[in-house]
Amino acid sequence: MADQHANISTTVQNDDERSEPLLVVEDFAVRFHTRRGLVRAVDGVSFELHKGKTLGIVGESGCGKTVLSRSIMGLLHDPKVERSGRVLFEGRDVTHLGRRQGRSIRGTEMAMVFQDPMTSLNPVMKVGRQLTEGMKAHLGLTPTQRVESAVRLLRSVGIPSPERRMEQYPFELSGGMRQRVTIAIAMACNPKLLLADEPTTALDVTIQAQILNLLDVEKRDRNMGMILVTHDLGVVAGRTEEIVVMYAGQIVERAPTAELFNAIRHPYTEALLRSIPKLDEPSGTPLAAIGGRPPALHAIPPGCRFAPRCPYAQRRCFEDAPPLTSDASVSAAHTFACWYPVGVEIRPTGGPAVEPAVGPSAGTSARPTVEAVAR
Amino acid sequence: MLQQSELPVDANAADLVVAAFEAPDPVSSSRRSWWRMIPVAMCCLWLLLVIVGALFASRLPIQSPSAVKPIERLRGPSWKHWFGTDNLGRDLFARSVYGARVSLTVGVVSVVIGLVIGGAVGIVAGYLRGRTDEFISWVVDVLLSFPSLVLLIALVAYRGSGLTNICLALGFLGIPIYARLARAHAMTIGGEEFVLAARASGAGKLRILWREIMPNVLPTLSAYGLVSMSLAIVVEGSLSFLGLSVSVPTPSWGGLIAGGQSFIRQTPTWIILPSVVLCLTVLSLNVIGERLRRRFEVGSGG
Repeated sequence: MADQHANISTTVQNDDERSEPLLVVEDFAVRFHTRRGLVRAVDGVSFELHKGKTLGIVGESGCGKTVLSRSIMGLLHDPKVERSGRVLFEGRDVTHLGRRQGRSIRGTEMAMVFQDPMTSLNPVMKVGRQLTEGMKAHLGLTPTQRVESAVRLLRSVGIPSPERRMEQYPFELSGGMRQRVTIAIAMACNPKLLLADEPTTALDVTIQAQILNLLDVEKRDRNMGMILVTHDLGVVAGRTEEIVVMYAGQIVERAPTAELFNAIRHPYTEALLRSIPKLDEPSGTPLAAIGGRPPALHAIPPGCRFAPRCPYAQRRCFEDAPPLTSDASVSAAHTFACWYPVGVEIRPTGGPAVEPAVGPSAGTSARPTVEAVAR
Repeated sequence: MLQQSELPVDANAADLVVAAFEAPDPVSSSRRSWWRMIPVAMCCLWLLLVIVGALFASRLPIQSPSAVKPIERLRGPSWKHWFGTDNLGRDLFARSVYGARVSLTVGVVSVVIGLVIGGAVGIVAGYLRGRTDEFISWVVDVLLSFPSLVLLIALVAYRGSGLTNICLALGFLGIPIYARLARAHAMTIGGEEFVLAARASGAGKLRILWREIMPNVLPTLSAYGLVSMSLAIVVEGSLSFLGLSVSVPTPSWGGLIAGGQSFIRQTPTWIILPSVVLCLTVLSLNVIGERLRRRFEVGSGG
């Protein structure tokens, strides 16, 4: 166990973090055997997360972010699902845990908040019962203790008159309230890691910020590690220490949040950022959508997976897959998988280069900053 | 009561307002459709009447169902004998009231047997899938492919007639139907996010089956249970008619109808009135069951 951990810390590129990471994901891959072939939903993903930090996983639908978070939780144990690589939780390999061990980790060590609070609560069970259910299984408290602690939890997530709410059914609560309840349920057994899979996507814009703030507060109070999965760079901009951008099952760019927004390298990240509508644009400005669709994950073409949609793609991009590298002169922590990264003038002139459809954002003054996109 | 000052600072007004708007308004919706409730209300009333009659038959001020009065034999309806009398002069109204006991017992017990066993098996198959599901579905298909009346008569012929055996036989016949229904619903519910959420909080298979799947399948199953209760009552009636149900002196609806057939020319009411009672009961169960079924279908979507 100990030398296993020593191995990991040598591969860790994060220099300013000397403590043991809470979660290490190493070359992790999830593949599904389907009738149409092998679907590579997650393909060679590596990252790590420290206690009290938040990692943002960003990407469009179908990029593998949900599969990634669910398989970290061990929710995809199925003979049809093939997994490789390692997930280390506090130095312990949790990739191939047995059924009982997995169950003892879920809820107590790791917890999850889901996208849609309308469907992630059992419609026929009272809120209080759903809250105490996990405590009953994991903590072994007496019924009175469970109720007391449930009331405390509900109050801490900002639900007024929690005693009354305990006796209500989910349909009697609003969307924001329900998401607060699911957060309270996730917190019930004091997890060390919280995975929030698009926790605000199904909510009103006005409620989104409240829920994100609540997650932030809970994370800080409990010194948890948190993984915030979203398709919206704006959500993760002000609330994460590090961001991982995924595309077609792979990490295309990974950097500390501030560095990422200072110097976006990957054209996909740039395109994601562009697709956020901004308030200061004149009305009628067309939304910058990313043309085309991600590649089908059962028939991935050679070369860079983003190349067919990339405005800067060259011939090389369609032939060789770019590795995840860093620009050592700028920052070792900022890695990206691109032959012709944005903002670096190494584009070959001449040759059968495809002319960019959209002008590259060469002017740094026009580049959106963390403050500008943060919600 | 919680004091207002105890509320957290960010007890957001927006959430409260949204909650207030989302809450269903019972007054306006009931006003809009109260007239549609009339048939259902009447059915409930009838069922209540039948149930009370069956439960308290011995305490009600009605005549004895077994008192033989040869002088008053084969009478039509009158103030003294509401449904008339049979060929032994027994009061047919009293016999109908006591007959409800047999019918209701058969209906309730057979449905409970089918619902509990079939429901459990179906939920397990629908949630666990895989080999378990294949095996259970295979057994269910085999059971369903038997012609039920033949199987029923064979069971009764083998085990003998009598209330217990009829209940067991009808309950057994219901098992595959409930299993199918429960399996289909458990499959849908097993894919819902709250089941995933339960797994994410460390719930095992048993706890998910019992706490998450079963409570969500139960409303649909019990709505169907009401409908199939009426079927059980009809089948019991048919078996009584064939002389395969309860033994002769005990009154049952099917037995009353069967007994009346030889005297249909003299006293047609002997057959007609118990038939009407049977019909109304079956109709009521169907209407209420159907109503509940539709309600739960809509409810599960929202």
